[in-house]
Amino acid sequence: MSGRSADFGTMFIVLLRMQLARLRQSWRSYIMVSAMMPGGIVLLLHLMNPHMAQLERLHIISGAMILAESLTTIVMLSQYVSFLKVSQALDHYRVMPISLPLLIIAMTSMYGLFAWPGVLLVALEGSALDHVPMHLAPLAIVLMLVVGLTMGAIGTIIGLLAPDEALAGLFGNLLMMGVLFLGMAPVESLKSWSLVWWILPSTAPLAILKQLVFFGPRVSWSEWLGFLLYASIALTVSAWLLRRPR
Amino acid sequence: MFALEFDRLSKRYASVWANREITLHITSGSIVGLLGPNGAGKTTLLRQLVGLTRPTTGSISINQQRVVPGMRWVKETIAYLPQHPLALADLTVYEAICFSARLRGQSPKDAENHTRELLERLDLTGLSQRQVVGLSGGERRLVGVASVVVAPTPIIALDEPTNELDPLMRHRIWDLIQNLRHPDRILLLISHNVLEAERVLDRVLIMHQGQIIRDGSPGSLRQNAGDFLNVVVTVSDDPKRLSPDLTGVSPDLHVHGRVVEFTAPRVQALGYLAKWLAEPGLVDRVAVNEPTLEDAYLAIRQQNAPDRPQAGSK
Repeated sequence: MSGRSADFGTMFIVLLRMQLARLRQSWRSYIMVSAMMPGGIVLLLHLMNPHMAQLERLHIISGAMILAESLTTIVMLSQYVSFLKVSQALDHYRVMPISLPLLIIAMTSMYGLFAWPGVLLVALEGSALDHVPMHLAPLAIVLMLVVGLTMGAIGTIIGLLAPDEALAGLFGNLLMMGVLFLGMAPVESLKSWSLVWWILPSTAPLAILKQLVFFGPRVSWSEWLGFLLYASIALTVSAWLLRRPR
Repeated sequence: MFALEFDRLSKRYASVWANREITLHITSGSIVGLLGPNGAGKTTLLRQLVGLTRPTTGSISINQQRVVPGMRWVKETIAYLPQHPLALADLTVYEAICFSARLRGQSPKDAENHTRELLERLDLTGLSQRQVVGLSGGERRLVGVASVVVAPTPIIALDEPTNELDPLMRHRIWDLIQNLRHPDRILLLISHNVLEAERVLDRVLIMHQGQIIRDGSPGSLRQNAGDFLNVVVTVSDDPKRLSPDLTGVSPDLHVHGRVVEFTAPRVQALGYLAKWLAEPGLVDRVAVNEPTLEDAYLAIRQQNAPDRPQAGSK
């Protein structure tokens, strides 16, 4: 007699379906939060300064799109993971014969999906209110999926390291504020903060997103490579933290 | 046939030893119960086995292959029911059980059949489309047990499988556990329902302050705990007439109306009975029972009281 486990494909589908159950439970509140805040910021800035320069508008629209991702994957996922950790519910996953990186990918993909209504709302606002020209680049969709994965891995790290749900929420919010700040502040004023610049998960995707969506489908492979490396490190660290016994 | 071995296993949290120098050899084909008071180190032992808690010293091996936390073969070999399986809370009852079977490598058809079979067996069919989060504590426990046993592994570790269950459901769970008995399987379970667990256990390990203080079959533990008898006497009028004899005889003396119940060493108990029965009209009815595992467990606990504060569970 020997134990068995599922193949990777089955495992991923089952884990994804397990996370989908969460969507069934709380999709309304998640979507509201992820859409209302970025959408609200774009609307507010538009009303405050209707004659803003085009470049500033680009910063705001792209920043708000990445912010929508960070709200669900960093803030909400970190709180959920912390809740699972504190209640020892994570033990159920940790003793199952599953790949923990695959579990994190399933979790982050699902939480990343909650951000899509927010991303679309911001894009609509940018197009309709600010008349920002945008290209629908298929690579932008891939980019947003990787952004969700990366920020989700960071949200998982925060959730696993924070002693409780409240502190996970606090740290998640602080990081989300960093994403917000970096996304919307003028790039030149931030260049001197080089360490923060490179640590924040929004740095590379913001640069790539602006190129893809606003300046036509141009691809900077070095930025993609750097961002994919960042995503792999975040995923590896989160899986290691999830796996380690206490 | 295979063997599970714990070699001088210890876990220390700051200055507290959760368990200490535990050495055990368990062969397949047995159902082993871990009994002991809260904080005795039972859950820590199971968590060390499944890799959730890193031992401070010592090791665990299965067929001489060292158990390393997180290794796939370890997770494929051991299924574990933790005390709080809330990760399944968002799923429906059917999904919680079926998905567990799928993740343990069952085909969709097998997973579906085994899930339906378990739902029926545990009387959960009517709840199959309800979300686990909306169930009562006992129903959630049943779902947790079902999600572990739906795809049986060579080692199954259950932490209080009958917690929060009503007597009928507990009965069903013990039957289910009994049916999992297999020459190539080890079942390790923690339970506070000592009396009921006796039905299924081949071996009992009694833990106290992080150490195993008794190890044997339920029968041998009963014998070793002392030659006791449990006596229930119905007195014809006032039970106080027995009091002079019973003062100090038994720490678990219970008087309910005219019924007096106590456990005492066999010779002493029979001596009292002979004396009372010799008095005409004193006793209406007498029942004498051999001690159960629970009696033995209580006697062993009595021998080891009072608790010292060195050990605790995490």
